[in-house]
Amino acid sequence: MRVIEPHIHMIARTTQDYERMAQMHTVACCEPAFWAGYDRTSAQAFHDYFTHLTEFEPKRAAQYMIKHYCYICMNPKEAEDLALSREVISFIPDFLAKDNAVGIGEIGLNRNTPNELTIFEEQVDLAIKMDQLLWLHTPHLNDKLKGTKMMLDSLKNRSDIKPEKVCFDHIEEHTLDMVLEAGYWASMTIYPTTKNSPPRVVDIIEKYPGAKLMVDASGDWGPSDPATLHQAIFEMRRRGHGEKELQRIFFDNPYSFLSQSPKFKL
Amino acid sequence: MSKDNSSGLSGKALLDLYYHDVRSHLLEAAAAFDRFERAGLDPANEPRLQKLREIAAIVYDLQPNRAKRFLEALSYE
Repeated sequence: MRVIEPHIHMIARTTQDYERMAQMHTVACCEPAFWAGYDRTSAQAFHDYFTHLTEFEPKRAAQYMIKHYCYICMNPKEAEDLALSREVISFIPDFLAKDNAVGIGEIGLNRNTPNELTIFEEQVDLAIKMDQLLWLHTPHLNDKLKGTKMMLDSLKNRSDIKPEKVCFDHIEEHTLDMVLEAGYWASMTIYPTTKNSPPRVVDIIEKYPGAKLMVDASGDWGPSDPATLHQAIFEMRRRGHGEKELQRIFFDNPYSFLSQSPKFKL
Repeated sequence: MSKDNSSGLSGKALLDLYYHDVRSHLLEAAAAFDRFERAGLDPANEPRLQKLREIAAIVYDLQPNRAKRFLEALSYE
């Protein structure tokens, strides 16, 4: 079975991780722009980062027969500075023109502040104007419920949004219903201690048959592992699920979402 | 939203599969509370441990959607 990893930060991973992913049958991965573990000091640093995502990573992935795609954005953890954020947003369209850029992401909220919401909404505007996919970051831990509600409220009254082109990520049990009921895609991140575990992800897949669900490892520089995606595949198998259902979750669903961008081809 | 429980395994088979994982997780929590107490924390008064004791009750109550209620109880307004 072929696997699509819909969210991973390969900039923070070793080349050996690409090799492991390829050996576990990953054929494509998608890298949203995010925080680097420290706050960048200038817009030029973001420009360099976006260049890395659109030029270097696709070449590194290709050595292992993995297609690398990305989303470009001003991430919520650095969006408190409105002037810096707007300077970064000004050159996002240049990077959206690159061959592997399929949308804007991961935008959203971090501490649920007014400035974060302003920059989120300005980038939603840009995505709609440029007809781009949107990959949305929901906050961590105790801030997640409130932040997810704020983002849904912000999008609720927009007649120009296409829910099928929007995915809310880092969804857990307490935020899933509201996202699916609004018509959006939901992705579940598996981390070793925070977010979801493989058994909980499979619980949700079983409780919501046919729902617009994806699973991702969101591997980055923190406690995380690209293999958590494949641990969920194993978890489904040992619970008796067949290959057809496995393919739906780990290939067909991310393919359906991502192939709404004409650049996504396998 | 359609909800189902479509695992291919019976309840007994699921329990066989996860029993030792659950036992281990509960034991780790018990040992951690002992560890905090030995280090001088009072589980009855330290705010984060109070909260954990409160939500631990959700694990063994007899109402559905325990994971959802557990996460909601930890969420900021």
